[in-house]
Amino acid sequence: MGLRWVASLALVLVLVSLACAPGTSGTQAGGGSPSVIEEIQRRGTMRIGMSIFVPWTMRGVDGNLVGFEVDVARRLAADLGVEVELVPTAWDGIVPALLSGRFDLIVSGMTITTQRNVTLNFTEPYSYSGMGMVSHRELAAGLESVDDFNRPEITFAARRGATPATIIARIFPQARLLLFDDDGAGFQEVLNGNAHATVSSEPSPTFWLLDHPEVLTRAAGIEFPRGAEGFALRKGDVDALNVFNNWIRLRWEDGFLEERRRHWFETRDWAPLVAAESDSGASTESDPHLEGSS
Amino acid sequence: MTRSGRWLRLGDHLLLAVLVVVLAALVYRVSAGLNYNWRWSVIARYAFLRDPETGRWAANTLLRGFGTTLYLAVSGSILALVAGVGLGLGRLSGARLPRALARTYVELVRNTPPLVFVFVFYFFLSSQLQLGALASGVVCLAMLQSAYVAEIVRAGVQSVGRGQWEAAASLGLSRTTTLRDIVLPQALRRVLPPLVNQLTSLVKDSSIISLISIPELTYAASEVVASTRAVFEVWIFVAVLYFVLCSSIALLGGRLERRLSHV
Repeated sequence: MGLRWVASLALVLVLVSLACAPGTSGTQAGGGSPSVIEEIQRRGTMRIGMSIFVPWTMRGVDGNLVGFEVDVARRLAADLGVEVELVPTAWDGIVPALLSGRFDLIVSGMTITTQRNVTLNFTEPYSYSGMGMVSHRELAAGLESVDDFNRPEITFAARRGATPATIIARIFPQARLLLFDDDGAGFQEVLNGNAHATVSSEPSPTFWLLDHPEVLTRAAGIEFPRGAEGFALRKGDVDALNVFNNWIRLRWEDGFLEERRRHWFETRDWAPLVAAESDSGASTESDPHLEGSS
Repeated sequence: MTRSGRWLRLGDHLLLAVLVVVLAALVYRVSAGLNYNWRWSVIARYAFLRDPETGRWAANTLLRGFGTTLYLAVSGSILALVAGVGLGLGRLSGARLPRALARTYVELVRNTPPLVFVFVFYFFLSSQLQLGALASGVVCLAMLQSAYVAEIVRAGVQSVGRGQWEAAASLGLSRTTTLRDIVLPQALRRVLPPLVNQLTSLVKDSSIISLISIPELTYAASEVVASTRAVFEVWIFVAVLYFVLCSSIALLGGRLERRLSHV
């Protein structure tokens, strides 16, 4: 009975994998298949995968998505003359969802890395992000340098699968790293004194510092590499890559990207849209830590 | 029945006192140790939405998510019951092939983590089958739960004594007639409590579907949490909604059970 059961199970598994095989290789647009640009034109709708990430993409109190990337996506669709369908997607599944064709491209603050580039194509950067670290005033008192934080008794918190988590693991290999689904949870761990510090993409760390100056601080002596974010596409689609690259170049030249970046990353005029913690609309432009891109 | 007697005994007082102390200590710890700015208004703003043009109130992200969870629960339950009864009867079939197929399916689903099942189904299978996101969510949930329903059905039918089958056979009834008119009505009464249990579990398991970004309650909540950072308010509210939904299923199930026991 036992052996026969294992054999039939194996058969089913083989059948399932056979059924999958042609499909998965087919999702990578090869030489002959049409570009996703033509597909978008034919459909009249562009589907864009996004994951919630302040202030890139957020769920507004009016039920709609708002944020830097929502503005970018809407403008991109308008320039292509198509409708836009924003597909909110859990960060953990955003790459498989793109590869299996659930949407046409990812516009979700995805930092270009060589590792990701192996499975995805990236456009030129439409945004440059800095990273910031905040630490707990009491827990991390006296800790200033990289070596101070790179010790086994130090705990970091960060968002799983995001670039800051990789950076923490590289700069502070000795420290313990707790991973969460969103960066707000990592920040809350520091606020509660369960972690010494967290690293996240700006401007969130600066906003956290402004909201909780009595608990949080910033270690002055630590510098982080800057990141560049691009749209992510399925591999091998030269046409789409060319269209998006040139769109990004044009929008840098006419100042659209810079103007939107200033609005979302250097002010908090948008805070009432998402019922954020301090929706005072205070501008953070005077803060020296909040570096803009160029 | 031994339920009579004094409502509270000596030991009960002690137990209550311990519970109160533990709860008070917990509340104190949370309020003292948690650096958190409670903002319950976030819940109201993300639960209801006032249409600026008509001035009417409508459901916002959180309640819309609850609506999707309700939809998943109802359609998932119906599908899971239909498929589960089919599979359960397949497992009892006299023929070898249906029995083997049903057994393979049940074991395959029961012995893989639901999370892995959801990922494999959604990213490999359903995109090839051109299923929409919500439809794949419903199918996925039903497929997961039908394996458990099948086992409940099988156990229920097998719990009806062999003598019933033999008596029916001696009266010249066919296998199908025996199953339909004699065994199943008796089995139904026995499988009802575990079935209700399974449906409650289905509602809670529907939160797994949030991983494939279907805007049900858990996914909607994760969006609101990520956008507003009102972590505790949102998750407490979500827990209350799930509790209300699941306990009403249990209540309905209990009522149905009492009605059936009078038949």
